[in-house]
Amino acid sequence: MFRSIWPYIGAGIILLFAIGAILAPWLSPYDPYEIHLSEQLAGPSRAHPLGQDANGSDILSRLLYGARISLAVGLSVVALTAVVGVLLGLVSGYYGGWIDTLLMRLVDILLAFPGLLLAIALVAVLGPSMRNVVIALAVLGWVSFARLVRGQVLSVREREFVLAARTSGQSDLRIMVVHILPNVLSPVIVQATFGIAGVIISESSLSFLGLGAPPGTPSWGAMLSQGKQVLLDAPHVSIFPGLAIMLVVLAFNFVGDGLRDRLDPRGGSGRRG
Amino acid sequence: MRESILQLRGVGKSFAERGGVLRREQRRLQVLDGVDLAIHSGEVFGLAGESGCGKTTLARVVMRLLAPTAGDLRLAGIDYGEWARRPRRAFYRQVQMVFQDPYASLNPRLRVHRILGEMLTIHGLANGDRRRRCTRMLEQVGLTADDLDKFPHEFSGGQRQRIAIARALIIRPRLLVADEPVSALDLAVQQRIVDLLGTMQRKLALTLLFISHDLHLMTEFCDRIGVMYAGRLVEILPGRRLIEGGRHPYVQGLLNSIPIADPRQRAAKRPLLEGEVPAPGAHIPGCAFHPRCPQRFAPCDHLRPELIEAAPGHWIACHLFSAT
Repeated sequence: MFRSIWPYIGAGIILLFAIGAILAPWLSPYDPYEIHLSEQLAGPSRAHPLGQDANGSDILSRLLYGARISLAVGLSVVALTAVVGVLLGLVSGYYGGWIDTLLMRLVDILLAFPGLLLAIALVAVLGPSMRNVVIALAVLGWVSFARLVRGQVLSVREREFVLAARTSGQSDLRIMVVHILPNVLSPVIVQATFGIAGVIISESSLSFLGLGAPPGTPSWGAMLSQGKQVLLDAPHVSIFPGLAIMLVVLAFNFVGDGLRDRLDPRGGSGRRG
Repeated sequence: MRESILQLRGVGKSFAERGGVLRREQRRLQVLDGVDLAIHSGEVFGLAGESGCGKTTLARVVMRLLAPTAGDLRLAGIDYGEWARRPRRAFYRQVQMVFQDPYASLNPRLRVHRILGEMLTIHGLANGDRRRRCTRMLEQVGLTADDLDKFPHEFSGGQRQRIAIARALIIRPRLLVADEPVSALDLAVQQRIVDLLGTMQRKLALTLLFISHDLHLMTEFCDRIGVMYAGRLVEILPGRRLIEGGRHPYVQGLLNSIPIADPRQRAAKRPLLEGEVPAPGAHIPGCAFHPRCPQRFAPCDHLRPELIEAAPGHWIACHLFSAT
């Protein structure tokens, strides 16, 4: 299906993390909240393969639970924003006119905000919680989907099979759902894959700044933040969550690149039709 | 006078060309200009003309894919304004269209049985035997039941056009608009698709609006032919009389450009059309053809010739044939 091996490697890594996240309660050797103040910042050992953090909690266990947060936030934000963005882009591109002008000016305005700054402001106003992180990231997330889909619809709308659908006598809704949507979905899938990677980074950034999960929650970003105070004495506290973030983001990007090569007709490598 | 299924009176279509910061209208492109036309029930009407003359725009106005900017249209005696107040499917139950490019006109993600079956569903004709009706329709256009479960990309251009014809005819419309239905196909396939259209037209007592730039093809196939130039109809006459009886200077120029196989006849030098087709929407005062016309005279550059009946069933818009 893919020409190179990288998308498979990416998919493999994602699968491993997903299994780790789902089976975290069974796979983790310890309770991620368990505190052993006598074993603060202990390095990797046979009992704790990735070492222990400032509270003496097991880092491996916290990483596994952290995967749940990263993947859940990534998936829920992208699912939410993709649905909203695709719907608005579809309507905007299909109907055109004032509805299109209105939506696209809104998109322009939202794009003018620095994304993470707006998310920080929103979480600061709403209060730090996982739910509010999802909301803050979703407020801007739909914009890229709406824009992408609108552009696709504009080109597909003039193709003869859509004109044929219009002269068949069916409703606009049916034309959009049956004839246009399936033909604009490929780039959306690619965008969604990259989107998950972006959201995971944003979530980590917010948590790093203390604007994500409540203190003590095993989120990768929060773990990094915690580790930065002891970076020189106990680098393992930062290195492992950092590696986890990097690996997952890289994996999603590998898959996204592969999908783009495969699905984008302009790439030329995909099969047409 | 036979009953007209489609009537156009003074139909015009102009597009605004916008520019500048405020997207203000810079100028208007008049693509259709005062088209009068009546298509009789049961006939094959050929609409001819070079590319850019407004044939496709006319088809799209008839199909309500574009709204006309002037004039009015009637289908089955009912005004388009009235049709607009009725459910969309009621209008498209009467008139269907076959598009030019069979590679673009079929949704690549739907199997043939859905492409056809969808039409039955939309028009409330799907009572249980959907698949059987699709099969029967497919067989009528020369395909088989096995093709029902295939995707469009599994067919050749000619086969795809057969599917497009089946899609249009499965609901038994009264009028079929075929916009250059064979020009995207191989020469060998063209005649077979035209034959199929002819067969279906007779079998279903269909009225056919056949749009093409191929005069040769049309003379045998069309009961009447209307020739368009720069958004206007310049001559309407019976199809079989076109070659001998085409009188408008533009039509004669077009006829002279058809290659003749016999080299002895070729010796007689025939005047060919000079110059270029005007850009779509170019505004030319008087007769739109006068800058290229070898026979132009006094009134041509300022007075627009109206379509008049020069002989029974033969209409010409040219000052050479105006009585006055």
